[in-house]
Amino acid sequence: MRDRKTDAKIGPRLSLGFRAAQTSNDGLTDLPQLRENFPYADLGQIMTFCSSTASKRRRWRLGGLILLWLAGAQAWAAEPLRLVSIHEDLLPGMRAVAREFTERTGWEVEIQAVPYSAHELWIRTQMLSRKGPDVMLVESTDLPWRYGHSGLLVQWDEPLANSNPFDEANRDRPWRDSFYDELVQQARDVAGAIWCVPYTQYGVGFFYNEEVYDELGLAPPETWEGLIANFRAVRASGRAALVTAVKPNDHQTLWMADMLLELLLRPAAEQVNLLTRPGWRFDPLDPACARGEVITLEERLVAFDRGLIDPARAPAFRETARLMRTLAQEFRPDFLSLDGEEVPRVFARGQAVHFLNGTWYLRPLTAMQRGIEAIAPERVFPWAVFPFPELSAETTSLPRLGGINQNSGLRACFIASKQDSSPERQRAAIDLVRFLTAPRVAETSFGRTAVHDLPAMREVPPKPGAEPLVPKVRYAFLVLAQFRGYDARSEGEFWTLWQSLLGGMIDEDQFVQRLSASHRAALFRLSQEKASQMDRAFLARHLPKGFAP
Amino acid sequence: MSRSNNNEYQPWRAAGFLLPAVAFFGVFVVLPALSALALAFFRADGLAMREWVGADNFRELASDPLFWKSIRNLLWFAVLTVPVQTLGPLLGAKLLCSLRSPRAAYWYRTLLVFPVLVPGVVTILVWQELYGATGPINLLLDAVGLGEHARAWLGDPATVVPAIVAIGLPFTGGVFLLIYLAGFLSIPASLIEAARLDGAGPLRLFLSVELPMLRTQIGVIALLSLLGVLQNFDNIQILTNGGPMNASLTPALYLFRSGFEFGQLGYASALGVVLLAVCAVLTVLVRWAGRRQA
Repeated sequence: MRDRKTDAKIGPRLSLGFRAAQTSNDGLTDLPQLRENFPYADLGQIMTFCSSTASKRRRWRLGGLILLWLAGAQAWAAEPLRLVSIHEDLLPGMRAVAREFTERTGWEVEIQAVPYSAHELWIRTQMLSRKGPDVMLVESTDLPWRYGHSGLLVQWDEPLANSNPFDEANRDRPWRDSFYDELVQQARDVAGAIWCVPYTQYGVGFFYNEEVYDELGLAPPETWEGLIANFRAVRASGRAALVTAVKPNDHQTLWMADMLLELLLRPAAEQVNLLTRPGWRFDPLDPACARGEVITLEERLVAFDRGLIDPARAPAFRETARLMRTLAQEFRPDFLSLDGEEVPRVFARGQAVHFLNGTWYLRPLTAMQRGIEAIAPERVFPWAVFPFPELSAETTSLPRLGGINQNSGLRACFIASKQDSSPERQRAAIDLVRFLTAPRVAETSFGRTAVHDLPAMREVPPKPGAEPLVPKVRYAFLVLAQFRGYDARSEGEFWTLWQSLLGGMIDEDQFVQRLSASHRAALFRLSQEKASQMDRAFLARHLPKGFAP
Repeated sequence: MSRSNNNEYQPWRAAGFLLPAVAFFGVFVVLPALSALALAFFRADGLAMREWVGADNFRELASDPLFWKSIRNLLWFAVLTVPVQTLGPLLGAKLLCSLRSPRAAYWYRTLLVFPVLVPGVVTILVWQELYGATGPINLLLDAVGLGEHARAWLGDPATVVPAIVAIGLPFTGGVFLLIYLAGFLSIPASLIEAARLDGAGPLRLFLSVELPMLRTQIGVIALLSLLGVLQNFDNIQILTNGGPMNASLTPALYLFRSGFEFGQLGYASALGVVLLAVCAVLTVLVRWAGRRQA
């Protein structure tokens, strides 16, 4: 396929010999063919092409120009693929397998790390200057969505629907089936498009101080009531029950809310997922039923209009807010001023009995306690982790299908810069991601790291220390609504409302009313932005009056 | 080359020497400012999208409750900050000038100016620890029997702004102190002596002689302090990022968040243009007031 940008670049320069070149049929002698081989056309091919043109003077002028162009292009094309990660811990494993990729494809891979704290600005500057690395390993989905919507990233829907050539054991299987379904679901943006490929997932649980549990005679809770009762018992003993932070850079409370909302919205799955294959049924006990299902922007607009995912009208939102507000009474009082990074330190120092966090803290927490042990051994305590508890009929009167989906968080994911001017390089970047996520390769790679995050690939086993955080039960997972909003602006508004609710400044009713307005505005903005890409027939059928801001 | 040639005005040579500086200034100061001004009339995410929207960004700004909240916060910051930053160093400088021993004056001056050497971020982080739930302030309150007043100072919307303003207490040191000291030293000794001979006590001397003579310095420091409040960004971002519940959000921080968190560069530029206009108007007003007094 011709590349329009390349056409635009070389078209005017080659206008002198273009017609003559097209008429020749001696080997690689016409311009489109030469272009097709870009940047791999060698000197002989170029000279053949030049000698086919009519006038000698024209020939040399044309040849000179092409040589200059290709010299630059080949110098650039010879550069190794650049893989950048914000998770430095994962790099030793990737470096270990990169050699095999080079041997199989001929592409060298240069791997480098970017400090986590500066990565957003770094990526932005790289993208603005159109010099984004070929492949990047980033965290969460906001960033891929943002750059994906700007047309700067590779969209993965098609590659994921095809098989992974590097996964020799599963050549007939779509690549996406090698990942946990819920992670692929989470990778989808509001319109259902996939801009990132999952690589790791976080396993979230309540870390707790076993010494205090023994002293108070408590056991890890299995239900929400048990959790609240434990927290109250801890508080009654004069200790802080749960340390957490409620800031945009710390999502601990949002994870809890997301888990609750996903469970409570589940009964609406079939009414929201309208654009599906005929006869599709939602079976909460069968995770496979959500495989390949996409909740699109059109479906969200319709669902919002019908009140299914409108926070003001869907009881699941209010119930989630109520439960979280109850829980907030057990938070350490400085939760509105604490920073996310301080939370594990407070726990490690024994200043709170629980904190909710993920697999990535297994190693730092151990390290922190070793540090404390060196100074004050008596302050070190044994700790363990229990999963998020289940909701019972006592907890909520709302209908529930199945139970809480544990460990449903996508963490590290791959993105690839879009490179219209070099399809070969683009293909190689996609291949690199396919290679790194192939189960055999990923297992080798994960085996050489100290990271406890769970792999996103089904066949790759987690590290032994992370086992308490591995999900025991899984339910069908579809992201019907985004609790935190649908774009950056609504997310900003969400955090203000969330702080207000958990801080006791507003009640559940005020919260859902304001959240509803924010969600509606965000969906309207998105519908305006993506008007040209939406299924108009579907919208006309289900939303005849349109979507009002 | 003769001496007369050296003294001759050579416009091309002057232009040649000036050119690099002007070019740098143009490329790195004027051009970004102009492009920001132009961007205010676009809907732009800084990546791919750029759509002409005329004055829509300004209209949206006028009806944006968060912008007005940030303005209210800014006024609250200004009301608390300007007096303490203006009067604190003035008192410090007065105390220094009143010391009879030159050796003691030297040491105290060094002591009061020394904190300028500490990077601002370090000061902010130290104060963050002081304000912590188990920080020294709350421990002290607890120790003196006022434990019920202990709180998360930066996590409470009622206390977050005063807590941020209180950073740097007792506000007696720093560059402003040096400006006042220079002002005090420039007051003619004969004037002070004459006032004393007329029977003026220390308070009368300060209020009727020194303070009027320091009017220019007070005006400059008030203006600098006000401009500092308008541009206040780093300490708020580090301490609260505008929270909780936007209680410490200022226009400068909102500008940053709009541009770099929400991806609305056009809107952020409009906010920047408004901030620039406000700064300019305030500067003119303060200068005008200063001239009138003079």
